Amino acid sequence: MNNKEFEKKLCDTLPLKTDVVTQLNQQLLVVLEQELANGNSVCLSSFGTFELKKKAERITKHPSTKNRILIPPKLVLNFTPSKSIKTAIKKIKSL
Amino acid sequence: MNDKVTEIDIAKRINEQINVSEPIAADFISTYFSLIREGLEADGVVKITGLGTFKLVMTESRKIVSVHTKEDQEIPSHYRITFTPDKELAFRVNEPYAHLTTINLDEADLKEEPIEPIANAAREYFDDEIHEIPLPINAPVLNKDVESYVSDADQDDLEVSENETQPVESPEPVLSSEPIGKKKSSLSSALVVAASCLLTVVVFLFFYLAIPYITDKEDLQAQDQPETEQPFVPEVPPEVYSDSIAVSDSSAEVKEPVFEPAQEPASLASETIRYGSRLTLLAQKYYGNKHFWCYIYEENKSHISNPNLIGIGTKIIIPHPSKYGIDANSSASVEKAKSYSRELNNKVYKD
Repeated sequence: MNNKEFEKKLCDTLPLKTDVVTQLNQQLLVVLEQELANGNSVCLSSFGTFELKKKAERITKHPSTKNRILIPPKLVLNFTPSKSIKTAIKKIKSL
Repeated sequence: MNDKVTEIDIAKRINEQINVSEPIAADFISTYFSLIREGLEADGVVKITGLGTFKLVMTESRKIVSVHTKEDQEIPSHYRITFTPDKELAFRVNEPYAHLTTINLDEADLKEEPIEPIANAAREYFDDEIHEIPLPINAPVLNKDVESYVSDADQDDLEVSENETQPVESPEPVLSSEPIGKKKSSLSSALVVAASCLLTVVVFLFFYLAIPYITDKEDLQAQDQPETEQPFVPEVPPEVYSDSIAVSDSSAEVKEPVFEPAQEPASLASETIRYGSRLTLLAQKYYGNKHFWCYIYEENKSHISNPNLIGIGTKIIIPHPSKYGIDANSSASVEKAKSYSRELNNKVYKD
């Protein structure tokens, strides 16, 4: 399902006007982005948790030049699905 | 910061921003995510612009041994959810570390050429010596050693040439561990001279480049032998890399900025560096953009040698924005600060 289909389905499901839904959609993403950028974890019951994980700096070797390269630490957005969705997904046999 | 945010909190935030009541917003959020779930169950992929892609991935069945019963069990193949954040979101989230770039640690070491096996023996011999020698007089002492060994070897050679008529084998040079013939000994001595000269240059270069970063002698030794597989501790400016967000947050909260009265436009405030303080954080706090850290450094240059290594307890003066033309809303000003800080960074890493 791509973004367009998803938005269409959202409009069909909710008893709201299309422009309100788009506004809500945008605002939700803005709020999520702000919260995550502040380092908060967003916990959505029955769906899962979005949180930041810090990846430590590391040294790798360039395969062809054999140079050691220091890769700086970074923050990565991580999603952990909730138990209910995990078990529901596990039951799917084939798509 | 570092709190758990729930649907209710998000609904509240949405309600604050736009004219939609809280229950409707909460309803919207739950529908939103249940639709993602439905889409996943139906299609296996849900792509949302601004958030990311959820995807179902097949995990193959695998055999395990139960910890309790010690019996073989099989976990059947099943689907699991993977999430790839949107590029923009991933970038936004990584902003505290966005100014860091990858560093090539081996640029200096590149000059080291492959050395012949016989020279390696000499190299090992010298390596032991190098660790013993204190830093400042390193190069001269090493050279002396080299000379003495060279003269030894030369003397051997001379003796050999004088006693050439005699069938007796010449005394072996100090460095070679294997029995070596007359011609070989002169060859090996030449190699040893070449190798030791090269080594001296490399070691000198290394010390010259690395002294500002290294304080620990053990680090030095680890660095000196890149071929041996010792766990290598990178010489990372601790302030840039080592602290997590949590630490910096707490320090930011603890800090109480002392705002000075308006009569003194020269400085905005003064701060004391604590554990986890960073110039970028201060710049973010006072000017609204982390790139302006370079001006704080500029103002305090006299008592900070390395912006990445500021001693705890150092007093930092935050200059008034007008002094350096700091304006977080003007992109030209931000760009200027960016290029200046890049320049500073390069300078620091080169030193």
